Amino acid sequence: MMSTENSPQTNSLAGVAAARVREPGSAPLGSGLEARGVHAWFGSHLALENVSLDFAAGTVTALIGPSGCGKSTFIRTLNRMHEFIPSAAMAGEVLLDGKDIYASGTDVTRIRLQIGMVFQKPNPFPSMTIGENVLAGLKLAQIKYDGNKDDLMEETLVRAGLWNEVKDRLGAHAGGLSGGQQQRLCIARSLAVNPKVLLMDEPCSALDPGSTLRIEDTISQLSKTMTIVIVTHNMQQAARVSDYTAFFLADGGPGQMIEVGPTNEMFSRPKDERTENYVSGRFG
Amino acid sequence: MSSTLIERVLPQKRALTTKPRPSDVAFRSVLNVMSYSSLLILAAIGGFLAFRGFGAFKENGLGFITHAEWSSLVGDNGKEISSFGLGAMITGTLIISTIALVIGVPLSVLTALYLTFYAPERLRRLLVTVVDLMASFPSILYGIWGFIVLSPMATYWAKLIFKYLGWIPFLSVPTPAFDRSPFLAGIVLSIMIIPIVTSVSREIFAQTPLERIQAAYALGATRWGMIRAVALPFGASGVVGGAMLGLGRALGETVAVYSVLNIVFKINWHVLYGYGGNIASMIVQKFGEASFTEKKALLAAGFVLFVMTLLVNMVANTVVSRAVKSGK
Ligand SMILES: Nc1ncnc2c1ncn2[C@@H]1O[C@H](COP(=O)(O)OP(=O)(O)OP(=O)(O)O)[C@@H](O)[C@H]1O
Ligand SMILES: [Mg+2]
Repeated sequence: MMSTENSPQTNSLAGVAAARVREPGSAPLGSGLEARGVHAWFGSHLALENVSLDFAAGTVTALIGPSGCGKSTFIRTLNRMHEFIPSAAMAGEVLLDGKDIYASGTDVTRIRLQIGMVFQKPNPFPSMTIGENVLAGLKLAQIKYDGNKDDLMEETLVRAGLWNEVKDRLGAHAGGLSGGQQQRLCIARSLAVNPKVLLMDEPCSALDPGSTLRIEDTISQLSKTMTIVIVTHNMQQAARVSDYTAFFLADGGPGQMIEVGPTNEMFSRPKDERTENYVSGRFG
Repeated sequence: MSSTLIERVLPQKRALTTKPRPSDVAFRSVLNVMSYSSLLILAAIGGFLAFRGFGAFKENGLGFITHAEWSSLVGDNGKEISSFGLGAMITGTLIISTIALVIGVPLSVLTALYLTFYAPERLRRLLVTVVDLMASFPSILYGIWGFIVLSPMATYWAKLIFKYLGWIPFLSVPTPAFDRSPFLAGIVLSIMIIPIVTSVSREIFAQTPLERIQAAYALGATRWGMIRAVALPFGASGVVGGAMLGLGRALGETVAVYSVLNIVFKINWHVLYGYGGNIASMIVQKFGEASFTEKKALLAAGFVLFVMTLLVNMVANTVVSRAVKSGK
């Protein structure tokens, strides 16, 4: 269904999105991720039905949709965090580099090393210092790192946009950082194990506008070297940071993916009326 | 300048009252009586022990705690010559309790970790019930079991330990007598404290914030990696508190120790060697045939035990409740 008239809000969002359109293939190859016919259950409750989505290497994809439509559920099936909930089940395939991460005989911890995750609420380890937090992944996954750990620490903190603020207090406890700094620390922590894909579930929803912008900056930087999937309730944010946007909706039943497309098109000429209504702020 | 001159007139503060309902008043007074009565009973016991034992404290002075000799003889002139020192029993109590903690706490923590993070739901429920059941067993059963079943095994282990680690001073023995040693008593006690330490640790581990656990797993943590980085730091203070509650139980244990330990009034640092004692079991052993003066001394010993247990339990409760509250 083609849209006829657009509200001013969507037009400006489309403008924002159009301003950052990248040439296809301009991003150096990270690794592609592909969801095929993903279903997810909590007990007998089907929360997500038949979602297929491609995340091309080196792109940023935003997942949007009203509360409860299964965005978090979906993103958590992408790195096998979904199965931590007792009674949770899934069907379908998730392919990383063409290989099903749910295939039997897969080492789940390896998968999570390659597909990192940043949560809604910043969750640094309070018993560790800032520096220890950054390198926590190496210890947790029991990886022997051959290079120089100080360099790695600096590099990841620079990439997460936090280095200048913490370089003089790497030995301080992470709890002393502001919320925004903690969230960037969590991003740095994910980067230290060098994932190919980074999943972010509303990474800015607990943060002030200033910190939000800094993290969006960080995302733009990171998207040069990796594939990013971000859940957000903030249309502006989706428009600012993403190449593609996917719209989810649970219309009384299980959550479904209604539409996916280049972000500027999703905001200017969505094909589905429900997408149109949502991005123009008429519901949700 | 002016502020000092102006007299502020503030209204009288009003009393904030309410007319309580009779049922409420009745219920509250019942609760009051009950809660104060337990405090009162505690105070009464402490007071009684202190009062009756006072004589012994006065006669023996500080020696009552430091001296290791406990004797009461009737001299030629028919007068009683006595010297009461709790030293051997206090050290014995501490040694046995330490052994109990050294063996019991790691076992309990591992059990708690298994129950919280590894055990499948149904097995967990079963094991939790079993552990709780262990807590309610009468201690004489532990004593009998320790004496009949555990004792031969413990003697064998003690010989092994002595063979390989005998060069460590407190693991050596003057003569090869391994029966009824503090080591054996410590093992029995360790089993008796496992339920309380396990259940406190389990409760604290179960409160580990899910977001931290997920953060660890999302970083590719192995389960053990997650436990080391998240659960153990989070639960540490709770485990310490649980261990101290266990210590509180170990300090006062009477019957079980009395049944397995060869109680001798001498300080014994050789934990594998066949004699020792603790305050509680000593009181049981002596009380029946004690003379009037000795009874007083035993009551004083009871007071010392009372204070030790009270202190340990108070500290433990503070640590546990702080650990639970702060959620750190
Ligand atoms: N742990 C759980 N147990 C049972 N049901 C759950 C659980 N988590 C989510 N659900 C259900 O799954 C559906 C999708 O939830 P999900 O958290 O994925 O939504 P969401 O799109 O992320 O919402 P929000 O924007 O509010 O974060 C909802 O109906 C929710 O009730
Ligand atoms: Mg969500």
